[in-house]
Amino acid sequence: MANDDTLVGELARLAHLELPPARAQVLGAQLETILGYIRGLQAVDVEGVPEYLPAEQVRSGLRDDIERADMDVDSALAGVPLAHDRLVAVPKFKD
Amino acid sequence: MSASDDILGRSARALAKGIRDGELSSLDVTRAYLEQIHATEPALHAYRCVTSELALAQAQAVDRARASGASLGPLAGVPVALKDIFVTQGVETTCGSAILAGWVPPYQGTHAQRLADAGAVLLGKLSMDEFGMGSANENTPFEPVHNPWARDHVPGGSSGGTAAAVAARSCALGLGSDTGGSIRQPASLCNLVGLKPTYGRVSRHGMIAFASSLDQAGPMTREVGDAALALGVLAGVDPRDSTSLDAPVPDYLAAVDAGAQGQLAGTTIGLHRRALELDGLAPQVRDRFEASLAQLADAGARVIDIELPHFEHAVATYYVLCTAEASSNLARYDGVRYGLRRDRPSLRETYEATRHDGFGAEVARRILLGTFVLRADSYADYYGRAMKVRSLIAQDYAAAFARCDMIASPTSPVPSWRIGAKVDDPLAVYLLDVFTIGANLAGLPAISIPAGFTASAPRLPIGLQLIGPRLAEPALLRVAAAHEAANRWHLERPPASGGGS
Repeated sequence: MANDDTLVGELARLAHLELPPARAQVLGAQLETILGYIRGLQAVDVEGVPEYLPAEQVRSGLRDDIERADMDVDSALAGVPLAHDRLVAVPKFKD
Repeated sequence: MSASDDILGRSARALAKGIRDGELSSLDVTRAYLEQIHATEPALHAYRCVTSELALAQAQAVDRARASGASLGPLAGVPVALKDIFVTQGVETTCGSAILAGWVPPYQGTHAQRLADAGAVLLGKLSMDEFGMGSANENTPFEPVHNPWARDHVPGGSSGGTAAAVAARSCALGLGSDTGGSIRQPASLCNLVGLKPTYGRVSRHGMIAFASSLDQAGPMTREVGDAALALGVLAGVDPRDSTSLDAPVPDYLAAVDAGAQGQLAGTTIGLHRRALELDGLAPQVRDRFEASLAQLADAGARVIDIELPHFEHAVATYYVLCTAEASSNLARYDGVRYGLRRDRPSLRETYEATRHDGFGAEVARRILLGTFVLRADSYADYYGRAMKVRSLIAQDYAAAFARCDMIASPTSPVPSWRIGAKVDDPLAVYLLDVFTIGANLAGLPAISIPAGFTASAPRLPIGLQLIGPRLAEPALLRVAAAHEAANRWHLERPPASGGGS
């Protein structure tokens, strides 16, 4: 995969990561090494084995469906990088 | 001995008792720790921020409460510090990342709240590998943390700031998080006790997510009793985390006191002998492990051989699953809702530029790997298969625990290494997680405890790990306390703490 610049570029696009060519090359080579190791899992016999689920997970279940105070708008917006008119500012995504 | 040395030399448990009994004032204790932070930080860089004013105000409140006769919480007046992965209302929380630099949470996480409710004094936030991804505290846009036992060596990771601060006596106890060994490995590299509880034993609310099915918070302390004290405060169901366990919280301190008697008759410890044949296991680590195991046997424990047939597949399984979960969890950092934002003409360009500037190399590597294993073309061969191997690994542990009470191993195959020595070989660093990640994959509790030092210079700590069945924290603490009672490793003080051992 590492030498397949198209694939690394596609992964970066899916992950919303800007990836300059030099960095893509380094990351691609490292990913190939790591994936080479991970491919060792192909040797494990998993026929009939279910995907992992915590067998004895004790769930506390859903919270009670009752009205309660939550944080106010100003507090919620305090950590937002850009707000307009007490709303989160989202860059234009459609013409 | 000065009053300050007396305070810094006490365990968290002894400090709490001293304050409760009126022998110590919380304010004096807090001042001693703040002075220690100022003395050690230039060399260690363990703290991301120090909350001096808050700490002094909390300490005064504890002293006032005691003077008025009010009942005090179990950690009243004890100075604590939190890995910067824990959300703290009104205190900057970066998770070790430039993408969250400057973010001041508008809410309190469960961990900070429970510690405050127990009367703990918050000294500050501690450095870490970015988003918990790393084993050396070198994956950071900030200053790397130095190991108090050898300043040119790493403290481990990702809770390396917590480890360095606790070891250097610049907090009485610390909180870390453990996704693949991030509490236990730095504890091992810094001569500490590090406890990763059963998955769900401690809430994840307010712990910034890396890999949600693996993440768990836990204490890092100098002594076993302090870990028990902290776990008793942190454990318990939380309505804000639906994966938290609705199970009774036992008396962990009673387990420690029982273990401190040094009698382990009736305890069976499993040994996976094949794991000791790993190429990468340092001979000095193996020697210390075998010496610790012999001590436990001398105390009456029975040691038997067990098998973990899929042990060698755990690292690969872990790095498929944790990167998949990370790629999903970290999608929320987009320049719109939190922290860093790089304004660009379009939404996609804003996302991409923000994430390029905000994430470090290791985070980007893991996001790309996680994106790959979750792609439709790769899912069955990678993510789906890893989830099946995870089942096999959990089954292996269940079968082993039908024959033994816990499994012993080294915590890390190597002691600490020089800063910068492994930064260009991520796979080599991943492989160092070999002994710790099994407990995360199977959701089991595990503890690392001091097991001695290397014989060669520099003198570096080595850890012993015990893994137990679900909710077996009391048994782990009992055996850990017995081991501690037979040794004096935990009483040694690192050179960079202002005192020699």
